[in-house]
Amino acid sequence: MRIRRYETVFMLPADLEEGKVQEILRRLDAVLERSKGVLVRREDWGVRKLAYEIDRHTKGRYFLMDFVGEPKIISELERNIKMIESILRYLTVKKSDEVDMDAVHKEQAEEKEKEAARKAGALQRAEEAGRKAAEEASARKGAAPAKLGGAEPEEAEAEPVSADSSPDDEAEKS
Amino acid sequence: MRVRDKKQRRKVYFRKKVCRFCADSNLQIDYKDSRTLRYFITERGKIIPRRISGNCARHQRKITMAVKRARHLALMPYTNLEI
Repeated sequence: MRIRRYETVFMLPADLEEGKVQEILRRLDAVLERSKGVLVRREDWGVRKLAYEIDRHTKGRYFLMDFVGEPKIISELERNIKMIESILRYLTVKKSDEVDMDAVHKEQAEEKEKEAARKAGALQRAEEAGRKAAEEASARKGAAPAKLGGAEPEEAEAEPVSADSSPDDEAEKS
Repeated sequence: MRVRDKKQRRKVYFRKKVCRFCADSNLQIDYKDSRTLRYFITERGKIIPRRISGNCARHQRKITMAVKRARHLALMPYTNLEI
């Protein structure tokens, strides 16, 4: 009963509907739970340009799962991954042979805190951006009515993940 | 022809380059880190040989493995077609 630490990265098409994406994430979470695995953290790298075309796609959505468990959960997890047609690529790596569960639990707690902090911060920023855009809109309407509405919405939405986000971006729990 | 090769080889062997990973033990080699890995491939996408990169054997192997993994995940190209 050795417990090891693994890391799996998988990629979905960039244009897959959010509903299906969440479904896949939930399914994999369930597999992990069933096999007595413990998810330490999950990262969503968002959409990223691919180095080469895969199945006619040029962009992909990446996820990282960092988890802990007995060696046999790997075959179960990968079996499920293979069954999901939407997953275009995956890779599982062993991170360490022996695991200190206490350290793991600590990390989980830290991740949850980061999550909460990030979401709170993101909400604030989105609100402020919305307010600024509204102010600028009224100012501009006085000065130059010809200004297109296309510029402002872009500012407010500058928050979410960009296409070239680096791999060490936010963690996300579904 | 053989005598020529010996003379040339002596010069090339004179590398004093240090492996940058051995020097700084905090540097990690990670297949996910395409930015760092990019330094070890050519413009065409080929892996740079140890003679040139200056890596020690151990780290060169790790780099190679990381690049190959990154290629599989489309984080790095297998090849860049020349223009």
